[in-house]
Amino acid sequence: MLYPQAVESTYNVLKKLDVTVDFPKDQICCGQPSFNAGYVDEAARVARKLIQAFENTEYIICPSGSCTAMIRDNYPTLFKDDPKTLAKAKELGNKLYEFSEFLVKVLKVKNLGAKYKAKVTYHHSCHMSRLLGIKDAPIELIKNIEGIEYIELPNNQDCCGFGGTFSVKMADISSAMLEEKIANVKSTGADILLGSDLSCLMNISGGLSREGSPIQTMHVAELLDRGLPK
Amino acid sequence: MSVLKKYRGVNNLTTKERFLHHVKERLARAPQSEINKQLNDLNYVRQHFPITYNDIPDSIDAMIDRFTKELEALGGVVKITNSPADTFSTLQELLKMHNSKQIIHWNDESLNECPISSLSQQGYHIMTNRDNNEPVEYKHFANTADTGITGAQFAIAETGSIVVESGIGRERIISLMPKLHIAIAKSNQFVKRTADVFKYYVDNKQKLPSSINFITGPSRSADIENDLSIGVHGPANICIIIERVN
Amino acid sequence: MINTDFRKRVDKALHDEFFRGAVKRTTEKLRNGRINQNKTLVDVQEWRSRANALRSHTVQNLDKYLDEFSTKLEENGSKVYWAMTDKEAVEQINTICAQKLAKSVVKSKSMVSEEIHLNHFLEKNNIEVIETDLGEYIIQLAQQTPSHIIVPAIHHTRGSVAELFSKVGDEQLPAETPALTAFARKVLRQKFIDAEIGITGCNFAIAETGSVVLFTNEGNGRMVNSLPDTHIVIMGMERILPSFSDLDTTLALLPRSATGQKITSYLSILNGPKKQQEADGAKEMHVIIVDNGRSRILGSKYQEVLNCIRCGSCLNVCPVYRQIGGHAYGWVYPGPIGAVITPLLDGLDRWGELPYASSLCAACSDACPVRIPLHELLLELRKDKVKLGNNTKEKLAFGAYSVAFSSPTKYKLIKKVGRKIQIPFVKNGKIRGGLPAPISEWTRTRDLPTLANKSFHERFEEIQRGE
Repeated sequence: MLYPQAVESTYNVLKKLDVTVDFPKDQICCGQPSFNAGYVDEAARVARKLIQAFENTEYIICPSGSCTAMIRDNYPTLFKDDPKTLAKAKELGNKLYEFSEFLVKVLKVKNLGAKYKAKVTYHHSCHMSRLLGIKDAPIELIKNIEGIEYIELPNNQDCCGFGGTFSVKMADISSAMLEEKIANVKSTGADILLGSDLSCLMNISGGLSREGSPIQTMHVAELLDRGLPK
Repeated sequence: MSVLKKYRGVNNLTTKERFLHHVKERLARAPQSEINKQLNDLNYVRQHFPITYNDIPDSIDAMIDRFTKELEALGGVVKITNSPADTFSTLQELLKMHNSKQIIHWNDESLNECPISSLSQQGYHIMTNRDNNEPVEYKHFANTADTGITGAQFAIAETGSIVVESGIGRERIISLMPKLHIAIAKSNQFVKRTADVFKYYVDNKQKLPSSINFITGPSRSADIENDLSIGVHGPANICIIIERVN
Repeated sequence: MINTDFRKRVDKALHDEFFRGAVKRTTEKLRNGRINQNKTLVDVQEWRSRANALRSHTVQNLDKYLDEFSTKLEENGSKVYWAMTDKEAVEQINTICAQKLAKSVVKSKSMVSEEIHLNHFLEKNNIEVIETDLGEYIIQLAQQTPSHIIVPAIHHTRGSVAELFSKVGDEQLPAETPALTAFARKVLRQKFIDAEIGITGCNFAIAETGSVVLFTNEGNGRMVNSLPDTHIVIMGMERILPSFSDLDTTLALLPRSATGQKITSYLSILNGPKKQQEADGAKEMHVIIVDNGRSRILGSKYQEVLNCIRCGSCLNVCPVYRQIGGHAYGWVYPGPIGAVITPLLDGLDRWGELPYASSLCAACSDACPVRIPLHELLLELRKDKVKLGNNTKEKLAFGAYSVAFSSPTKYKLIKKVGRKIQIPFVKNGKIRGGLPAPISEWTRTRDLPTLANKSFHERFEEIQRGE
């Protein structure tokens, strides 16, 4: 509901790669905000709906590293005392792929033939890089876009400061972390900051926008979408 | 405080038994799992998690080379000699270079071939705590020494460390208090890695010395604004003379 | 309901420019040191896996190893004491000091001694306690607590150290590291010689031989354990390994993780007091084995945290520690390890905000040489904190969330209503402020995006209709 354009770009890119894409309309949320705050039952309720929404699918592609990690890593813990839901959760986890991961590992595509001229840098979100171990896939996709100048972000695996409720519960610390992240982004001279997690991008773009910075933030899918013919 | 209350019923136990009983009791609460069961066996742990070690060639020359590289990178000095006479003259050079005046040294058979006491004829003060009429505590007189000379038990190629054991005639302070520490090691004391030294001590665990020290380079600290300080409490200079033996 | 003391401490830290810079420089240096030095191992992951298994095994069999260790200690001629609480530990140490008519004690670094407030207790009993670790000496003079496990005085400048030392020596010392170090060496040297008692911590105890192992760099640890006649070791009961062969595993990891070294300048293995005919060394060795809440952790889902080897790696990669430093954590242990064990040792009700002082980024778990899943343990603590209650508003909020976000119709309604409600707060396509807490916390420093006019649910329907 906040960044539909990122989801639409994901849809567009997949369609351009000849993937048949459906968007189950009962899907809402993976439950992470509640889970990470320690409210387990509330998270389980939301998660059950998500599992139900995706019951009959072959692959599930998610343009969010943290949601993917939540489902793969935490659903088994969340439902360890509910064998029926646990089985379904594990099945969901097995079919689930993060966007870049799907392109590179399943479709085996690194170069989509996209063209876009810009200087870009990339922020590795914590869950995607450390919990899912996906670090190279998005970079490969980015570097293969013709016209892109890719600059590595200093300390790129350092947390941006979002952390769900952390960003409001511990707003001072969160802002301090964001300040450093933004300084690093600016130091690259990039026009666009790319990411694979909309929560990180919301956080970083919130800070950039507050200081009136012209640096754009974009999900990797959005850049690819713009670089490919309609 | 609530922990102690539990043991009103077990007053007869000694403190050790009470303490360990409590530990055992708490551990028993842990849910049994496959992983826990496997981890209970120390042999399983040691075999199931193998380590790939860096390659260090077998030859003494290669080990000496590696040792020298490691220690020099830390600011230590390494001299290689070919005979006891060579060792003694190298020792004299080092003493001159560092302007040594007051020397304390091991009185141990490992240094038998090095006539350290004869240095007094060259104007060095070779200190012993029998200097005074009444023996003084070692730490008091040793404090004025500027140089300490020891042997070694092992030299470790991988890290540039020497291993010194305490004992009669092998005082701890000699490698610790003076600003300069000179150790004489023999080439046949070389081992590749720390694991080799630990294996030796496991094999000889019935007769361990009261203290063993692995010494690697000079004393150091980075506590003041991350600046490197050398020679904080221990020696600022360490020189290892490696004597080749057959 | 964040503890106001915590908020104050965080606030203070965030406003101290020099301190923040020092923390950043130090943690950057140490984490790069670990990464670079780990490359000198063929595969650090092998060592980490082994270390985790080894430490887990040891903790699982803690009673057995403590029994073996203490038996061997006594065979070596040391005395052993068992302290279940901090009070027992300090009283026992004080008794030994009184028996020895001790007037001064030299100490080398021991985090457990901070847990039990040893210095304060001894000073109350008119015993001079001198910290001899350069960093600990500095903060002792400044009457502060450490701000980092390995480098406790990073919050000081050369200038502030010169000021502290100048007062001691009654002379004006320059703010230059070599001069300051030389001064500390001179002053503390005499203290080592004069002290009746030396107190150290214990990096690792070796059960098989009754050995106490110390990893140090300055030489003060060696002075403390061999110059005074009596040596007291304070040991957290979990700091134990089965055999020397296992020491090699922790040796490969601890110096690399703590200071970026292959090995510390000194690795001391003490097998009891000096033998009778030896001319130097402590005549007596006393080992105090301390529980102080650790047994509460045994058998619980948190047991793995006792694997910790106190290397500080987690601090050096933690983005939160990087911004707030050590004092903000309020107790002995800062950073991720502190956020986990402080509530466990001293009460979750008292330290409930610490597990939330994290974005759960998992950098700590990634860096930990013994593979403690710190970020998972922080999450477990949050779950336990929620169960403690006293969080009605938050529980209601998440309850509402779980109802709305598990029902497509309610979710649709939320979006519809939200799009209308936001209108007065939107300026130039962004929300800059005006919303109530906790959202106001966000908008203090960041803009918020607006709820899009069409979510992808709605766009998808359009796409399917061919628009």
